[in-house]
Amino acid sequence: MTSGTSLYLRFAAVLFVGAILQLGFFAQVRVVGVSPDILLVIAIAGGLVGGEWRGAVGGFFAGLTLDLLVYGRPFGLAMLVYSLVGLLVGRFSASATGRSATGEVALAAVASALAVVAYDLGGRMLTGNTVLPEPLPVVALVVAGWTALFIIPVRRIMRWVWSDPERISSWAR
Amino acid sequence: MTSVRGSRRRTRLTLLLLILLSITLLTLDGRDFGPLSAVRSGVSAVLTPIGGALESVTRPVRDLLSGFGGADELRTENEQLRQRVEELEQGEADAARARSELDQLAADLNLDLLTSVDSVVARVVAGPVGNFDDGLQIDRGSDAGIAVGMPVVGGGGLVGRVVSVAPNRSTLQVVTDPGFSVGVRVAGGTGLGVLSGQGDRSEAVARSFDRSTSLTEGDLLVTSGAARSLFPPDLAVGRVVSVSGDTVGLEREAAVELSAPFNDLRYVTVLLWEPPQ
Repeated sequence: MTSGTSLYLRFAAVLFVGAILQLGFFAQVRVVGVSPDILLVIAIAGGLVGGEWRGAVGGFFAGLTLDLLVYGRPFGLAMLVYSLVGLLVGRFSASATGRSATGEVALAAVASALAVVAYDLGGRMLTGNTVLPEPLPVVALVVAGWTALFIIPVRRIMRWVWSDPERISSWAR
Repeated sequence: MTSVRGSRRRTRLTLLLLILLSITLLTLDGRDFGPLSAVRSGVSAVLTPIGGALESVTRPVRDLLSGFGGADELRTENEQLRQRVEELEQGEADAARARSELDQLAADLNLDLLTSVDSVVARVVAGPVGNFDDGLQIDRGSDAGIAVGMPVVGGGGLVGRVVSVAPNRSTLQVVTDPGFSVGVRVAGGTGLGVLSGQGDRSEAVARSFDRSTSLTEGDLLVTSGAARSLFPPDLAVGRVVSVSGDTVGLEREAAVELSAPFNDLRYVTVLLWEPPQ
C-alpha cells in the first residue's frame, strides 16, 4: 500500500466514523434545539492542522459526506461552504492566532458560525426557504459553542490523519 | 520563494476546481439528476442501520447531555404536562362527547379509506441529520412494497411522503419541510387551500382559501384528494389555530397546528397508495 493510499484511507475512515456519529449520536444531542455538526468540526480541524490546501480539500470531502446524508437541501452546498471554511481556517490559523490553543478554539468557533450563516444564506438563495430549528443567530451561536467544545479532540485526530510529513507531501502533490 | 508561489498557485487551482465541482453538482441537483438520488439512497442504506444501532446504544448518554442543556425546557414541559394531566382528568365527559363527534366525522369523511388501503407500519430510525434538514428515515423499504411518493401517516395525522427508497430503508419528506405542500380542505367543508411547511415542527400555514370559505379556529383540515393530488382524500393534517386574510383581501390563510406529533414520532404507517396517473 502506498503512503498516499494510506492517508486517503485514514481520512476516509475519519469521515466514515464522523458520519456514523453524526447520524447516531450528535444529531440527537440538542441544546436549544441545535445539534453539533461533527463534519464541520472535521473540516475546520483539517484546516487548523493541515493549512489552507488540506483545509479546502478536507472541507470539500466533509461537506460531500454531509450532502450525502442530508435530504432536501441543495446537493453541493455543504461541499462549497465547508471547503471555503477549511481554506479560510487554514490561512488564518497560520497567521492570526499565533497557534495558541485559545486562538485556535476561537477561530474554530467563529469559522463554524460563519459556515452556518453561509450555508443558510446559500440554501435560501437556491431554494427560497430554510429549515433551521431556531433563528439563524441562535443556531450560529450554539453551533459555535459546540465546535469550541469538540475542536481540540478532533484536531488531535486530524493531526494523526496527517501525521507523517512524507505522506502529507505525497498526497498533497 | 518559488516553492511558496507554487504552493499558492496549487491552492488557487484546487479551490477553483472544488468550487466548479460544487457548482456543477448544485446545478445537477437543481435539475433532479437521477444518479445523485441513487447515490444518496445507497449511502443512506449503508450508514443509517449503523447510525440507528449507535443511536439505541447511546440514548441514555444523549438524554443526559440534552437534559443538561435543556433544564429550563424540561421544567416548562413538566409544568405543561402537569396542566395537561389535570385537564385530562377533568375531561372524561368531554372525551365521551368527542368520541361520538369523531365517529360522526369519520362517517362523514369516509375514513374507511385507511382500512381499505394496504399499509406498512415502520419505525422511525433516524431524524434530521443536522440543523439544516427535516427528513426522517424509516426501517422499511422497497422489500415491504414501499415506493417513492407514497403517503405516510402517524400519530393521528399526515406525516409526509416517501422521497427515496432502499430495500430496507426509506426517507420521508415531512409536512414541516418548507418544500412540502399538500392540497387541503376543511373537514366536511368544500373550500380548497394549500398547506405548506414552515420549518416549524408543530405549525404550518394553509393558504389560497377562497374568501368565501368558512374557516374558523379549531377546524380540522384534511387532505383534499383533488384531481392529480399526491395524497388520498381525508387524511387529517391539522387544526386551524388562527385565520387571516392575505394582503389584498382576496384569499384567506390559516395557521395550522399539525396533527402528527413531530417531536415524538416513533412509528409511522406508510399507505401503499399511489396517485392515479
